[in-house]
Amino acid sequence: MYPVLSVTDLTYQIKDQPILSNISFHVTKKASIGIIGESGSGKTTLGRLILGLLKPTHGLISLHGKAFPSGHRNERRAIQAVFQHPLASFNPEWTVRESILEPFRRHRPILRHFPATSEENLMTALALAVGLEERLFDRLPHQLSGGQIQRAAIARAISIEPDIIVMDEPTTGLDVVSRAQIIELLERLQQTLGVSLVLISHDIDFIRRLCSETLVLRDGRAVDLIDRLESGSAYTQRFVEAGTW
Amino acid sequence: MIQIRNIHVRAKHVLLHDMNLSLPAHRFICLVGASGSGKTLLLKRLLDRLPDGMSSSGEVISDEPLRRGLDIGYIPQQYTDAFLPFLTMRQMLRDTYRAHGRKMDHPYIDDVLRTLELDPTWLDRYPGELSGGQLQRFAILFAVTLKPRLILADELTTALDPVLTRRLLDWLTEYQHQYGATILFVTHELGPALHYGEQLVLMQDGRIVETGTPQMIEQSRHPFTMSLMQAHRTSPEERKSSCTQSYP
Repeated sequence: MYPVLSVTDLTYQIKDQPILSNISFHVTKKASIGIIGESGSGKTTLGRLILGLLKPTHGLISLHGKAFPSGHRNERRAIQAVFQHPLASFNPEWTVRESILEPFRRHRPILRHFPATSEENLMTALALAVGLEERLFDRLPHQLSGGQIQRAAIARAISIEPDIIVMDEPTTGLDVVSRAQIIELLERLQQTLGVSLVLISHDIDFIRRLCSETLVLRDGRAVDLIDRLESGSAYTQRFVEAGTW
Repeated sequence: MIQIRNIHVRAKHVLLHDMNLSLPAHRFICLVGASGSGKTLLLKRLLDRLPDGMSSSGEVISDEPLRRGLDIGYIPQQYTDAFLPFLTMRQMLRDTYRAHGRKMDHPYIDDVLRTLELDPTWLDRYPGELSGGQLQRFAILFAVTLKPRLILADELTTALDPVLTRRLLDWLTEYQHQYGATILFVTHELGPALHYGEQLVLMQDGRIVETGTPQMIEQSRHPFTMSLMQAHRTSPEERKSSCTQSYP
């Protein structure tokens, strides 16, 4: 199938010190790739490169076959992020509603799934899609619980119907019930919106449940690119075993 | 044995409701609950360090003296706040020994550094020169410096990779056996609690819902415990019934 996102021979160095070396993979529509590895293995750096927040030393990232970032306005709509600490990604002085609407107001996209006739209709649909009571959108970010703010961050990411969402440690700090609900929500959004996911996580069970393919990083290098966690190298096996409870 | 008797904490609302709990000595005890269930607050009450504006009643009774710093080692959730930015790790370590009139136990410190995979040269670094994972391990080193009998560890493994998580929990278990310590490990994750805990205490909305061994918790018929177990289990079929909300 035609890849939505392709990463080819991606290398990132700081002062000749390699942080990531020769990383290649691709993600097709509705697929999810998991990125796992020990702390300091380069997972978050890879996420930032994919989002265009860092410039690779060499190698290529392409979105729908075109080099990314090219500076075209629409490509920013196509790829959205949910960061590790979602609370920090919301303006503390704005209501959650204002923050969620900000990308919609900036991009004014033509939506296929959500109603764009009015902002009210869009917010109602988003609340339903992420399983949040709509009245919570009128609160300030710090007034929401960890699970609620994570859902709000997902609502903001899907509000402009991106092709890909990059999520960095989306389950960190969530209790087991909130975490199970986020997994359920992501599965559903993948099916209904056809969005592809790049999931960076320490949470092995989360990766196992959601990802069709997993990239294993160690010291900035790809150790494995596998469709089943159990089919990886001895290093991956040890890592997966440690994270399986 | 530590007895928590009728502990009641309130600010504008009641935050901990008349808690009664016995923590047996020399055990690995896991306090499990969602965010906001009162786990950290209970630890702070045990440390007698409730935030301003909160009042409490009830008592904590212990068979042996529990002096903060000496008998109780505390690993806070916000471990980055536990260090003074203008002192190196070695200076803080030396001050800890001096404050309690003890001599620095070099062989013990070297042993802990080795186990926690902390490079001894990092002792001469300031907190700002260390990564989050390194600081978290130094927070553990500081908590166990004086070989306390009770260790309170608050969300110790959040944001750690699985290998490091196991390494730290294995080491805490070894410490517990070697020094006859009691570990009170606060977590929102059921997996590590079921694996390492000898006794689990489940909390919800400032109340203790259930206590028991991992086997008892796994077989519990209590609705709250069952919902946690269901969300924890890996099979999608088992999981489906735990998420009852419907989406479009």
